[in-house]
Amino acid sequence: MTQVLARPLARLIDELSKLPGVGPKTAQRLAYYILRASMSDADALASAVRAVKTDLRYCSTCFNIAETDPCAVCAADDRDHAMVCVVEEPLDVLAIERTGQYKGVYHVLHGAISPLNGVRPDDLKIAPLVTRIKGGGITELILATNPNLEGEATAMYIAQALGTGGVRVTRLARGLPMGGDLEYADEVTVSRALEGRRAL
Amino acid sequence: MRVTRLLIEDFRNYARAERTIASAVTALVGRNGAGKTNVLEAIHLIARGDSPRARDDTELVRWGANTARVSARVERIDDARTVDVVLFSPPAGERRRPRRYLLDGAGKRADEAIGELAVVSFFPEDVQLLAEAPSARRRYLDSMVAQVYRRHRSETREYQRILEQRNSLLRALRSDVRPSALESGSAGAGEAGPGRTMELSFWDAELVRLAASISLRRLEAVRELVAPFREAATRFSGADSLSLAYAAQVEGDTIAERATAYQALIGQKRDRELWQGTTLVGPHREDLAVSAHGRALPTFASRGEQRSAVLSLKLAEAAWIRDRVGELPVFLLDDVLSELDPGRRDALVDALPEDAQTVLTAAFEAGIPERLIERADVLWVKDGAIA
Ligand SMILES: Nc1ncnc2c1ncn2[C@@H]1O[C@H](COP(=O)(O)OP(=O)(O)O)[C@@H](O)[C@H]1O
Ligand SMILES: [Mg+2]
Ligand SMILES: [Zn+2]
Repeated sequence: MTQVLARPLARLIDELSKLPGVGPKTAQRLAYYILRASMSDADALASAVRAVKTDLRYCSTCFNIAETDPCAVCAADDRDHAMVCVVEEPLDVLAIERTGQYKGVYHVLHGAISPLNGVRPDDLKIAPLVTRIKGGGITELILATNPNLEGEATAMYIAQALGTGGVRVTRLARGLPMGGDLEYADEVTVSRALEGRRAL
Repeated sequence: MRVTRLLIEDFRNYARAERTIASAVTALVGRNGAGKTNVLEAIHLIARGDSPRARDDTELVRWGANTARVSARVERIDDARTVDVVLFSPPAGERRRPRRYLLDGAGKRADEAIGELAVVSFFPEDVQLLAEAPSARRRYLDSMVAQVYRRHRSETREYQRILEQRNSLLRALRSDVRPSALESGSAGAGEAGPGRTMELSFWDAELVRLAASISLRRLEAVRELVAPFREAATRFSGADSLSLAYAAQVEGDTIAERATAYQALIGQKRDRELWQGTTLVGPHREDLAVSAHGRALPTFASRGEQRSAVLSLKLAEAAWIRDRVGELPVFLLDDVLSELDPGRRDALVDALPEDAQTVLTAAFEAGIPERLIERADVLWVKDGAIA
């Protein structure tokens, strides 16, 4: 069969269509857009893609993605380091920061327990969380995992793993729609959920 | 309860059809493959959220179309609402979209829209119900219960998700050799060490919570079915020895009692569950048992006896829904009349409540009993069009 599509273009379409939410049609449109863009725009895109892989690291305290280790939040003196908010993904940190209400620090698990998808507690940053808390200085833990089955399973597991030692463990209130995603909730909803957190 | 208007778009072999539906009897008549059953299927979809014969929505969307819509005006004693279900069949390579449900034009969750209409249906494949594997009877029972208790629908779905997660975990634990990072003492593969118990405990708790609630609703429903079932069975075939029971793993007449019992059973079966890598406790292992003279029906019954027992069950179901909801469900009869001998056909026609709405199909007008046809609106169906 004759190669109708020039190879570099076919390759770009291929790579783009691997992105979540991008079907073959969208990938084509994006590829042609990039093809027609200026060299500097295309370069900026390429180098931005490269930079997220080369210039980012995990904060060794909270496991958020950051440029520095410790990250800006973990290094800040005007934050309450005794209060830790546990979230599934780095984007959830942004959702909570958007409320402007929360003054504590974070712990990013990088997922939620889901045996069906092969995700077990050891595949998440749960053991480092337990170590971090055993290290002392933390009085409250807010479990802000998503209000769905996997998020609940994760919250319950963490609460159990910590046992009943000193730390106050709370769960975000049900202001959040069950089955929803923290990342997509609006600020008001997240604020309310934060205020109404309940003990576990 | 009635369907007063039905609109179907790009559903099965219909491009578009819109009809007002008679409040008494509607007879859909036409040759095989015309699209009669498809109309009953559309009504069933509105009432129960699924099709009795399609496993996947892509089967329901008209070939070549991407979106199907069924819209029904549902009238009840105290209100009237329009329920819409929109189904998607994505073109090759595109991702599938979830269904949309609307109530009076506003987007709703499935469990808000489904259940506005109650139906009791007789489809040809129902004859197998009592001879089939228990899973078919559980599905039947859950579908029936959900017509009265809407929460039952969401709970059975949630239960299914928990089962999948729990089974995956049991399988993973079975083949687990690495000790958990949080586990100090390590248990061998297949043993319930402390880390394993902790990983299972959330899924155990959810399983127990839903198992207790689902099984209690089923149990109570079956208990209430016994009397109307006996009555219908006697009327149908003189088989007054038929009986009905819910075969459960545990006892208890309250959610709390059943929860305690399931929890205890999980404890007893822990090692076996880990060994087999699958969930052995819960309503997914229970059954609706039909017996005659104390013996399970399928072991001896002829096809005719099976059919009578199923029809009796469905008539009992209608009586149960009427008692619980306060209104008669709509009867959907697909080709049943032609498959019954004259005696049983008359018994069925007798058993259909006069004030219930009935929608039936037949290949020939002549196959419909006099007493139905005289008060029926006859609609001729041909190649995906209703005349
Ligand atoms: N998704 C679909 N798109 C178009 N036609 C369909 C689809 N599914 C089934 N059909 C057609 O519908 C017809 C069967 O309709 P059905 O209602 O079962 O007939 P009957 O009148 O015998 O009950 C067949 O002709 C079949 O080819
Ligand atoms: Mg048919
Ligand atoms: Zn940090």
